[in-house]
Amino acid sequence: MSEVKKSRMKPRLGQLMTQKGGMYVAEALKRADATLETLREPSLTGIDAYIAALDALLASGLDDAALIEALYARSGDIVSLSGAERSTAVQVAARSLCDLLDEADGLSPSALAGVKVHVASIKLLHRAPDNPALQAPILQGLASVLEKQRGEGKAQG
Amino acid sequence: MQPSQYINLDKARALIVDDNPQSQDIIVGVLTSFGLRNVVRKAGGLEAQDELKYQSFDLVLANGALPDLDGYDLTRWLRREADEANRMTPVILLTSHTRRSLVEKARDCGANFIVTKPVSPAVMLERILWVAKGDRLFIECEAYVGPDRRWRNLGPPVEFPDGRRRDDQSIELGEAGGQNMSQDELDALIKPMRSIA
Repeated sequence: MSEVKKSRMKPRLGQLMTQKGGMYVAEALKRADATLETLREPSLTGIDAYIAALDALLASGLDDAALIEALYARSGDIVSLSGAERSTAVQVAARSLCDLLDEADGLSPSALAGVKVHVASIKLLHRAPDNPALQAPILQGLASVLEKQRGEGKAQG
Repeated sequence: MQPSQYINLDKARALIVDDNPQSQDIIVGVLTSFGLRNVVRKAGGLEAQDELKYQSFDLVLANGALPDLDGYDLTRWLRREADEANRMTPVILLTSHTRRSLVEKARDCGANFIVTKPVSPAVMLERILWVAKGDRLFIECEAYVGPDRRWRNLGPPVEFPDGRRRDDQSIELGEAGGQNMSQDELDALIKPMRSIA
């Protein structure tokens, strides 16, 4: 068995944080929420651009591996900015697209159809008001698409 | 985390590594709202590595996926090969999606925590307070260098010669199943707790 060395972590951060000055946690969180509010519109515009990038990639004619990688990166970018949306629906849909692409061996016609359904759903949910009655069937549909792809993946083995 | 708790990040120095400029803006915005003034931004792992060779930091926040050297490998390098000044620096990894193929790497790279995107200020501040507390041991062995992955710091059980209790979670990682991991699941991954069963 290899030797295990243990030492106590004493991060300088801990010492700095207890120095005089600073602010209350409640104040810090309030300020952070206000900052995120100022970044809301740029983030939503960023999502617009990433959705357009997904469409452009689907029409690009890239080979499967490169296309999967690029689509995965853009859907991850949408997740990153999805805190700006009024609900978590875009985040859920974009994560589902990440799952689908991560688990895809290649882009079979049904996998490609699954990707397109996800992109269309993200477009529908983006900038939409928080309406669970509208979002639930869309997200349920995406979950079914993912399950179907997983089933096909297992069957292919 | 109590609302009445006082924090001072005025003099702390943080390195933010993210290739998405807007995501970088969000992280920097949140950190500056917490009072952190000294923030260095980098878009890639190799650039960050260069910065870490010459500057010391009190906190590193890195995206898991990066175009050149990813956040997991950057953390692994930091823990094993970086200068003493940075080797134990708290690292929080950010991820919009954890790939199945990277689950093991994420667990074993030596990060203090993994936080899912989109960034939530409350989660971020809580994790910063946790890493600042420094109540975890730093473990160095052939297979792993980084903060103790046993969250409760119970120490090795003397009654079991192989160092594992009967009710510890398995050392083997099962195949990931279901939807993408939630924040709670990622926390459980990076700080495995004793099984309740």
